Amino acid sequence: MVFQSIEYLIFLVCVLAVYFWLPRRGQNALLVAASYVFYCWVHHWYLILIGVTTLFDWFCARGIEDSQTARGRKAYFITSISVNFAILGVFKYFGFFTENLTGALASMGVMESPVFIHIALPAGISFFTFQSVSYAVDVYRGQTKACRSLLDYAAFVSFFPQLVAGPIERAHHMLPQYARPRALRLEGVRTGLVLLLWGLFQKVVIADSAALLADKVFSLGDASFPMLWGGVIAFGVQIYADFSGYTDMARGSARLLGIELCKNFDHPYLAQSPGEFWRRWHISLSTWFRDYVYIPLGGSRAGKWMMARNLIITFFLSGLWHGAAWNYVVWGVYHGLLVAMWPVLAARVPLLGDKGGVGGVILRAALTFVLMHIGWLMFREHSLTMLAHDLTLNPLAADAAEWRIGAAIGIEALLYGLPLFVILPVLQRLGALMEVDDNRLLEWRWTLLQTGAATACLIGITTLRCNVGNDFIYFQF
Amino acid sequence: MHSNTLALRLVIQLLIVGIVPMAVTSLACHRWNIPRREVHRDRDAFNPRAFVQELRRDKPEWVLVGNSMLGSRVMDEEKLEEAVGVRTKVIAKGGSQSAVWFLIFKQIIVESEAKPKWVTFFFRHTDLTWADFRIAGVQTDGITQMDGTAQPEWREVLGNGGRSAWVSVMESGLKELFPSSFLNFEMRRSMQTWSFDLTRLGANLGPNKRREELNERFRLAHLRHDLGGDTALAQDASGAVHDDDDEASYVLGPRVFDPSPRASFLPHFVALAAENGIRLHFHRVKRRPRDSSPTSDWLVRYMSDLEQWLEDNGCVFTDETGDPALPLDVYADGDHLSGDPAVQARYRELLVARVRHFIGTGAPSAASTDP
Repeated sequence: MVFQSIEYLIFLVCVLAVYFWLPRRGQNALLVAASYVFYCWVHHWYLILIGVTTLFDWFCARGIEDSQTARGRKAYFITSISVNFAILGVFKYFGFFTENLTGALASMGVMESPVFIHIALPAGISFFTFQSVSYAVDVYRGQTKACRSLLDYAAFVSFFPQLVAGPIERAHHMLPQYARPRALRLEGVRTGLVLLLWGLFQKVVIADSAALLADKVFSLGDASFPMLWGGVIAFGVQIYADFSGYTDMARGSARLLGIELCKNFDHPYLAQSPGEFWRRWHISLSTWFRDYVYIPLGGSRAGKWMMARNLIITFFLSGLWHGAAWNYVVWGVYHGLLVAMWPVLAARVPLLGDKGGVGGVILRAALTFVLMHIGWLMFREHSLTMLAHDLTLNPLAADAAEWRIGAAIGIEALLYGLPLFVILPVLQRLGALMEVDDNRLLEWRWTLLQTGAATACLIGITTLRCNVGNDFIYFQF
Repeated sequence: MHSNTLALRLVIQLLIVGIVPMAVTSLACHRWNIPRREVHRDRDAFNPRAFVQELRRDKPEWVLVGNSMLGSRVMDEEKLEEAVGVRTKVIAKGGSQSAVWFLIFKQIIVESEAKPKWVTFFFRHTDLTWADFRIAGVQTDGITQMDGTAQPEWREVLGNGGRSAWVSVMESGLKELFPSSFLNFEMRRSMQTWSFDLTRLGANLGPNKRREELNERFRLAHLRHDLGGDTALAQDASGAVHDDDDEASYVLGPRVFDPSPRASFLPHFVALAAENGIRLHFHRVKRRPRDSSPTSDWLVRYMSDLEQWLEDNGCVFTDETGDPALPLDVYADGDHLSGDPAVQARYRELLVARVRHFIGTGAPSAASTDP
């Protein structure tokens, strides 16, 4: 089931109609049942997958906490982590690994031909696996108490608004919310609805419109430099609006249910360095890799070279998390190099640091924007051969018509993305409209602003929606 | 403040949020003289009910089903009928794939009770087992008209993700409340015009000229060689053209032949045909000849498994992919055949030669590749 469907609207209304009448355990039971219906809407066998992993991780976490010896704790921990990554590995990476290994063997003459294995990737598996792994690690480290209630834990793993594409939540943030009853809060309802509509606007107006433009360009066999980069800009708009829209709809739905999810985006295209970009983009994934990969590898504690190594390894894994394909690996390593090299360059070029006033800020933001979009080209272009070709295109070889068309594509995408890039950051207060603050409940000003924002979103959806819909990009991860 | 007052305020807010957009769209339509409602137009003139009536009336012995691969290869139904000597009906729905073909088979051919002796499906590449290929976008209308998502086979293969009748009713209701398809079209066109205005780059071309320029740049000849011939339809339908350096538009499709009834509609075609005494023929079309790169190993294996399975299940499989009589110059764009009468006549001869030994004879062989 997808958020931008009538089915979801009906589903959400039905859940809400019952939810607040129930006691705490009943609310959690309803959430689990609803989440399983949501997740297994298309493929019923997903139920086995999520049910088994939930039961297994719940059991292992209790084992970690209850074990009397360090060895016992470690055994439960390693079992939990291994099973989670094994499941992820089989569904997501087995085909990729087999294809590449047998391809290499075939090229050496050991095998006759490469073997292709197609395994259907269950939606959201990367997200709930990472959430489960973080829980096991936190319990093992003693940072979180093992959840004694299977129901609460199942609600934590399967909570439908964030199950398929995040945010990747942490147990210490979510489990306490399931441990207390949720009451209907009018401010939560108001801001939740604004978030839902704003997310829907981002998806059906901005992301889907930009997708049409980007897909056109990436279907060309002879894209020129300006055409290609017009398409890349369109893809940059698409992927941001698509994922940010999903997250806002997830947060809005959760808030209606009295659950607060973490923020996943913070105006990433305003970042002034690649490192800052990653502190603003897909925040829940970035912090996951920071806490469970980068810092355990040594972080920045062992000097510049080790830090660079750790960053590249972390981003390599982050690239692989996004997809079992070489272009994602290239994309990840590229970002690792950028984040590792930026401070070194900034030490030599003051403008890349924090110098230069407003001009410096604009320069750094523009440079970061360009570098991120070079990354998006790697992300979008699945063929490495085409990628190599794209990166060597000569801007001088394009005629005026090519520049006109390329510019029109990029500009049209940016026009659709205007609310996301310009209006929202400029009106920072509008962002606050979407955060819960009970003190504002009685203020007419906020009431009017919220009503205005929601109405504007609905007018935008009605008049500007794209009639060709796409799945959310991050569903495939 | 009393909670009832707050709740009332929330209700008023919700009403405003709901009513104002309705008023705005109505006012905008009035202001710019834009029709509020779109009169239903069936763009590709696909009318399942009419097909059912025609089949009942004509009682064809041979029905051919497919997308533009069929439509561009058999443009003249009557000439094919003359050539093969049996009553023939062609149902070609542009951009359709196996899910829609199954609905055509069930909801039109079987429903008509015309009981043709043979039904032929024209397919390309891995179409037959790629169940969820092109079931959205421009195909939605046809699927709804044929009550697709209510079919048990649909649910078995695609799960409950399809649209059910009551969802369609709700969707129609919302469209009635916010009748803005023309306004939406005009607004989106304005966005494009603004982007043209901002990117004149010295040229004094009007929006229409710019659109022509854009369309010219994105015509089929400029698309990646390995994209399917009807890429434009694929793009309309799904909003995404999937590309890769090998068998590009099919990169997300199956690479292994899976005959299970949950994986594709193919076993359901066979079961339904058996129930109704209809024989099935699957015809693989030749794609536009490209460079000399060999066919992928997986595709060779897939086709071999498919052929074996069809043979085991009493179907006929024919394959024109290796036919030297279909060189590059018989193609128009992509994998579509040219409409030139000479090309059409030549293709008709080839097709009839392939099917002559079973169509119309009443004694079909179990399976066959090329004669």
